[in-house]
Amino acid sequence: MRQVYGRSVGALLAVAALSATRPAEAQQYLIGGAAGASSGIEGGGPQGTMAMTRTRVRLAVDVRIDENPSDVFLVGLDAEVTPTSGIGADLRYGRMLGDRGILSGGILGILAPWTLYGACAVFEYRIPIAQRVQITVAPEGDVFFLGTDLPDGTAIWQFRLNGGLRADL
Amino acid sequence: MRTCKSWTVAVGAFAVAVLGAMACGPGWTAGPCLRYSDCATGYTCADGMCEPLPIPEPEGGGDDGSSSEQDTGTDGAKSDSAAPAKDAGHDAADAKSAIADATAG
Repeated sequence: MRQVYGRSVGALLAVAALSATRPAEAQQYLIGGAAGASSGIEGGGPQGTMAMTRTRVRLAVDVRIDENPSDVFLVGLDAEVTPTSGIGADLRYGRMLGDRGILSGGILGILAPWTLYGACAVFEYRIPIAQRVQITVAPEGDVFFLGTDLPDGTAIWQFRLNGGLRADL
Repeated sequence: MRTCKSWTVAVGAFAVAVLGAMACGPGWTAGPCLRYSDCATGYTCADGMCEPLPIPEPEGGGDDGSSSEQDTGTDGAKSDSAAPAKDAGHDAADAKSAIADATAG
């Protein structure tokens, strides 16, 4: 009887020891997907013209590494939909500000049918609506200074408000 | 309550996007522009305004070449410089009057 009791205690201790240690894990990617639309105002040019910007829709992926969850890399596919269409992309680096905010900046380009290249800065705020889904509200500032769609000596600035949905994948 | 606020923000952002799309309309034919593609086909963006593209000058003077004496002047108009063309026309008129004088004499 004492032998059985001793073996039982030994087995319990072994289980406890195994459950207390976690197996080593490789770094993991934390990936999210987002979709949104934006519009706003734009200006620049020789006469300082200001007008409404073209509406732009964006599909994006953001990637973080669990070891450094504050660093975010964002890649987006952009499409201007009205009044004339165009397709482009953006590449950004961002930093998490708390649990819900991201401040990011990077390069942005419209690639077809005309080209337009510039830089962007975005503050994105995420409002949770489900465990893995958030509404995103993102004021954005863009500056374009290169491209075949730009008259000589012209730079364009844009201020947009982007709204959309994001999900942890 | 939080969800209600969230959807309000989302609807507001979407409304801004839609209003922006409605305000833009098709490309300008005459109006302010920031990009070449802001202007309609056949127009270009110059000094912040859409302007008609310059129409290329048609090649040839327009005559069919049936009139011999007038053609001398008209053909001169095909040359790159306008002044020689006018001179050629005047020379042809002078030659015509000289021939008429010689015939009358």
